[in-house]
Amino acid sequence: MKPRSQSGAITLDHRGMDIRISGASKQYENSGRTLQVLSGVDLHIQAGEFVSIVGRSGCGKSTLLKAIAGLESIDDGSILVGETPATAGREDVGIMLQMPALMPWRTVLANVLLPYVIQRGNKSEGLARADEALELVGLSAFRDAYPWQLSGGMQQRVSLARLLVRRPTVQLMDEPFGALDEFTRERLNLEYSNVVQDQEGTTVVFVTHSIAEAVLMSDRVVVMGAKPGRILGEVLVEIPRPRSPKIINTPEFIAASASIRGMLDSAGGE
Amino acid sequence: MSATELGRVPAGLATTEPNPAKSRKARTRISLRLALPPVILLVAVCTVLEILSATKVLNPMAFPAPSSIAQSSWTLLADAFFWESMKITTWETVAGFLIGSAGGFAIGALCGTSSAFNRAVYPWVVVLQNTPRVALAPIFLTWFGFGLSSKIAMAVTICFFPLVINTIVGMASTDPSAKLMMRSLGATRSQMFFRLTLPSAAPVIFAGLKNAMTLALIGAIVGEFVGADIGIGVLIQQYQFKLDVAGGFALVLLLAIAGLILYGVVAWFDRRFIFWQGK
Repeated sequence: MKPRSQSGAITLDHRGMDIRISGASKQYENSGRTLQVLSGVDLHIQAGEFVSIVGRSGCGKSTLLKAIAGLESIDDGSILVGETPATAGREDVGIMLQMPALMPWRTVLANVLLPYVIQRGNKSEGLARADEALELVGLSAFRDAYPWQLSGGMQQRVSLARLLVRRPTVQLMDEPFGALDEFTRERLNLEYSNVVQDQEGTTVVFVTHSIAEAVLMSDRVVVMGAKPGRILGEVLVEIPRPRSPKIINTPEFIAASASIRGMLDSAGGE
Repeated sequence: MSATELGRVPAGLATTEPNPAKSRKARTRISLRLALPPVILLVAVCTVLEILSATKVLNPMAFPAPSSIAQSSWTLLADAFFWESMKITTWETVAGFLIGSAGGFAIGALCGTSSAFNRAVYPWVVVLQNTPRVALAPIFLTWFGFGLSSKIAMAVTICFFPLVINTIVGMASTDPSAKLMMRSLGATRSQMFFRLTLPSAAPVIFAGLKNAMTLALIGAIVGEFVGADIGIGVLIQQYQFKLDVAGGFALVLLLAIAGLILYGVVAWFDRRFIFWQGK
């Protein structure tokens, strides 16, 4: 990888954290019928690992991610993030959603600063880091613009900057680029994996329904199936970094994609 | 890849910056084009009425000519008692608006925050909303007397409910993703309310406020009709006794202008605070 410009690099001031999920189960009661969203999910994600979770709609991947973020409870089992059980409001854990969820009355800068405002962080540190994060996503020129003046792709960049501003060691990504067009998405995929690579020790859990996206970015892809929501298997992606869009034609990429598809197909489902 | 390079904004995604301020001339032309049709319509209708009245096709006693309404308005504007009455009615309206919408907002915010409170209160809001509340005017007269308070009470009652409902609806329109984001950051209840739900609801609340201002004026006038010593409502009734229809129309006209001004004040605050709306 080429050296990064001095301005963009972010160095983490804390050690990485792993995520230990054991026996995670959850069910919903829906008009008399019980829906098993998660059934005994065991997963250990190492510190500094980039793991994608792929699966069809309804396989519980998003529920699992929200449980790691402390936004969903589980009925059984445990989820440890670092040394402590999963809970919302941690500075060292950040989540990014499919929707930018920006506040139209706040400028781009103020939106990026939101985590500092809510978690009552140091204001001048927040400002410095917000500028840094905006530079990293290439939106420095738009810091005083309002979200509705930006395109969808740019709004999602703002959302990414808001995630990065507190430099969370664990980054939980819930189909963050799923609503974007193919080209913008691919571009953001590569940019984001570069950002992550520069932040040593960052653990990423990336939920997506795109096999290509998962393989492009991840060290490991976990495949989930529905009814009940469970882990079907996993595939290691041993393609060196930094990666470029060209890797999609390499045998490694094709092989990884094929075995993921194989797992999804053998599980059936609609 | 350098940070700036990787973050370069693709040309196709360039922002649509708000247009550079349009030239004064162009703006004048646009407002002229907007203002002209209604003005032409007004002149046309007045001319027809004037002719119908002058030719006695319409009885000028019952349907006074626009010119005599204008004349009566002019006379009223020079009358100190008219201004005294207008002051009273405006005061009743504004006081009723402020109390009613503050109360409506408070109850609506409680409904939007606590589902238990909402379950208990909301059905009654719907019931009372559908009660013809002007029918309460005589009761308020008994309770609060001939003074200002019965009219203020009427205005409060009328503009309270739209605010309750608009506040609830506005709060419910909060972006669920933004809510999830706030929860993930560990937002407290008050942060959630002041940083997200309230600003999200603000456009709908302001729509309710504009509505409430109009309703408050109606409330005040109805209150005055039922029993008062002074106020535009009283003046209108006096003119009716005098069979001065032109004067009555003039009062309605001036009342409408007062109502427009009050509405305009709220609309000004709306545009000023809710700058992101419709973007």
